[in-house]
Amino acid sequence: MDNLRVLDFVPLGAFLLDEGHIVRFWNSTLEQWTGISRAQIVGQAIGEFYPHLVESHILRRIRGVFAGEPAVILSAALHHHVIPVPLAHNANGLRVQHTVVSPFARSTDAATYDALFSIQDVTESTERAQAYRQELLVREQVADALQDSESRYRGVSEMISDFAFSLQLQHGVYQRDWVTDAFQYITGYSAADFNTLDDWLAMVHPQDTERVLRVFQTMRLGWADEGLEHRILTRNGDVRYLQTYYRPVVDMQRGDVVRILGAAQDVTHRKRTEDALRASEERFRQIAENLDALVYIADLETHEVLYSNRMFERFFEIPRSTFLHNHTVFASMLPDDARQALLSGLTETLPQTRKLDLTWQMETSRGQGRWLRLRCFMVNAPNEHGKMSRYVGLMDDITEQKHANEREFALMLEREQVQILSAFITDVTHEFRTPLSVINNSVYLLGRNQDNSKRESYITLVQEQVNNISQLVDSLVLMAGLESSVQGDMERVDLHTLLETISDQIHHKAMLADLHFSVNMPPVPLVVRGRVTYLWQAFVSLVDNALRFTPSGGRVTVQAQVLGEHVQVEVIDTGRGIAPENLPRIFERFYREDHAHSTPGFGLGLAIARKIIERYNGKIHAESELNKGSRFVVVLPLLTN
Amino acid sequence: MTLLSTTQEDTLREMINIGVGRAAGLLNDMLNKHVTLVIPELSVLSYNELLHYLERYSQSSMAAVQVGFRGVLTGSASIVFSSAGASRIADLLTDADLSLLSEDMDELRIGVLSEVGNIVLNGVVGSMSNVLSLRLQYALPAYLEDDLLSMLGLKHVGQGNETSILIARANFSISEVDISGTIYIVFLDGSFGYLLEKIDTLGV
Repeated sequence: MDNLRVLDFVPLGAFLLDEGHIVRFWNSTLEQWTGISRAQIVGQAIGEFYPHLVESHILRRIRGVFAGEPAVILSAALHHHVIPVPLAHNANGLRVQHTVVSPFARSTDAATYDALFSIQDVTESTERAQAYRQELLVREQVADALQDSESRYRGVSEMISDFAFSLQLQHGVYQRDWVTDAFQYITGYSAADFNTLDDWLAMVHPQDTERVLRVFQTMRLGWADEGLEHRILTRNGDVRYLQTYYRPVVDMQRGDVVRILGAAQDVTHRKRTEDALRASEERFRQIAENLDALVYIADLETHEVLYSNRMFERFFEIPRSTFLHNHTVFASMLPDDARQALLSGLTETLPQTRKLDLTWQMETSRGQGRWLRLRCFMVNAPNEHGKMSRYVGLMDDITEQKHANEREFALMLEREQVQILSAFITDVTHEFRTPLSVINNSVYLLGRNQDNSKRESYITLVQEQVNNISQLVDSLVLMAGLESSVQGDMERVDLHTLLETISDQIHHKAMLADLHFSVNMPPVPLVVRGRVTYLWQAFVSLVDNALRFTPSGGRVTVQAQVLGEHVQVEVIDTGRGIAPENLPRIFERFYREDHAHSTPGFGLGLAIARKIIERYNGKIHAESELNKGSRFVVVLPLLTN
Repeated sequence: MTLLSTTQEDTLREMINIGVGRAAGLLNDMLNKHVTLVIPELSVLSYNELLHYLERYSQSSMAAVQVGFRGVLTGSASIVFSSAGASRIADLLTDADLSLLSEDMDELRIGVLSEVGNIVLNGVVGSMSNVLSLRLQYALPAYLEDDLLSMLGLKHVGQGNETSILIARANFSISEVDISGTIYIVFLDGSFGYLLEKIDTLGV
């Protein structure tokens, strides 16, 4: 225990208990405090000296300490004095102590612990706190008294505002002592009609008598009432509403109620207004109940739902009561995005803009998809806390309206398609009419002309035009084919081979036109998905187009490269280029930059190319600069295996 | 949020419930008042998640009682009250209107709160070490007033450390007045993982 000697030099009371509650150490501070010497107490049971320390509630607390569990606090406020030490100036009072009981290992490899009690004397600081508290208590009482007299004063002023009376207990009966003049003016009765409590009760509306009587009964016990609202019948039978305050006056010596003071305010006007309001609310309710729309009124501050109509219940199939305590309850029944929009709308949009308008689609419990529209607007009336936080929610089932809109949209779409179709027919007709009129003229001239060389040229012209028409028909058939489903086009097409074949065929044509033509490709297969005839057509159109618009001596290059999971094919020419204003339109059907139609073609090649590329999830676009050349870029997804 | 298996969560919850049950019993006996203590919510957060949680729930003025532990597990257990809640508890337990003592916590009130916190925490860590037969060493209980992160000693812990914080809401009902506090058990240096391993070996 020698290592504990250090505890002789601290201003704390300290002692050590073993598991059997035997004192193992007792420091010199405790010797001073208690007069019990170390020799007397060490080796003895603490219960012999201080029985309260072995009471169950203390033992239960410190039990864990012997097992090495965390320290235990015995605070001054709840335990006061672990080791009772009398105060110097007052032998009956005891010093106040704050104690910590901590485990103290008996040896270094400790599995056994003693309990070390460290006791701090906190008498002075507690006294200081108590004195302070006492002072505050007195101050509080003075404030209370002031407030009380103020409320009494308020009571008096209330009495002045309307009328007041006093009833005095005499021989077991409350007799009227005095009553102010306004009594007569409000009730129509004179003071002579009001002599006892029973006279007063007779003036009270029969339906309110019981409530007033109850107040008088409790008042005999000396309780002041909180104020009561009741009706009286005036002398000529009118009903008037009074806000009354009854206060008992108690004889302080006997504790009896000797007098009752009454004060009354005429609140008839306010009451009537309230009734009118209630009636108008009732009217609103009737209208709302019979509406097809879902209507509710809620408070953004308190989340309370003040009203919801029958449709609400019917639509959400939840009882109104589940919705009443929180206006956002029905949000949980909405689809995710609608719920989020609603919740943020109610917390942000509605308070700021005072309006909220949301539309969403949801399935009802019967599995029907419905379109709903919720409109909320703030109400210009304060709630009971004086805040303008009430709003009306109006929800419509706009499914029918939405369907009507959709039908209208479908109709518009159809109309649009008809227009496109008729424009197409006009275009096609135009394209057919040109060669047909050439044929017509040539055949006419052929019949009239005997000159063989002339006839020959007419026949060539007819053949050319027939060729044109047949090409046009081919293109149109191709386009029609492209409108059909992509299902059958599951071929693997190697663009490498395809472009090489095209190159072989084009070379000759390019040479004739005095153009430099080349194809650059990586030495790998470039496999895409599609139908070979279509893709062939697309690239031939692009290359043809480039050849057609590039003057002799120019250059046309086809360049392919792999970009990640795609293959990019560029067709670059040094031709005359496309004016920027025309660039967006070059992929349209029958579009020709050359309005005079002096270059061959129908304006279908690029439209067809785009249709084909897009059919296989590809993209095509063109870049161009006037008199410098154009660049058509096709990107198609590569087949990975 | 750290995902616990149902068994792990049940065991943790049970351990804490045993602890607070024991604490409520002691408080009942000691004060002769009806005290109930329930843990309606329990979750485990990482350090980063705690930071995120504090952004949303931080309260400026708080009081805590804390006991540190080390050994096979390293960390601390704290019970934290809002300053108002802390005063309320002290008042209810002493039947005094200590609130008259301005906002400053005086020694009496600190004493009461320290003792109550000490009872609850000893219950909880005691039940944790008993159920899992862990040998831990404990620091002396301390009373703290600060922001939560500082109180939990996590202000200067860097991100990405192996810290887990078990958070248990504790609802006190003393003489039919409800006050809630929160128990934070901070496990440093990956010791929460060890705790879970221990729980798994229980084979509940």
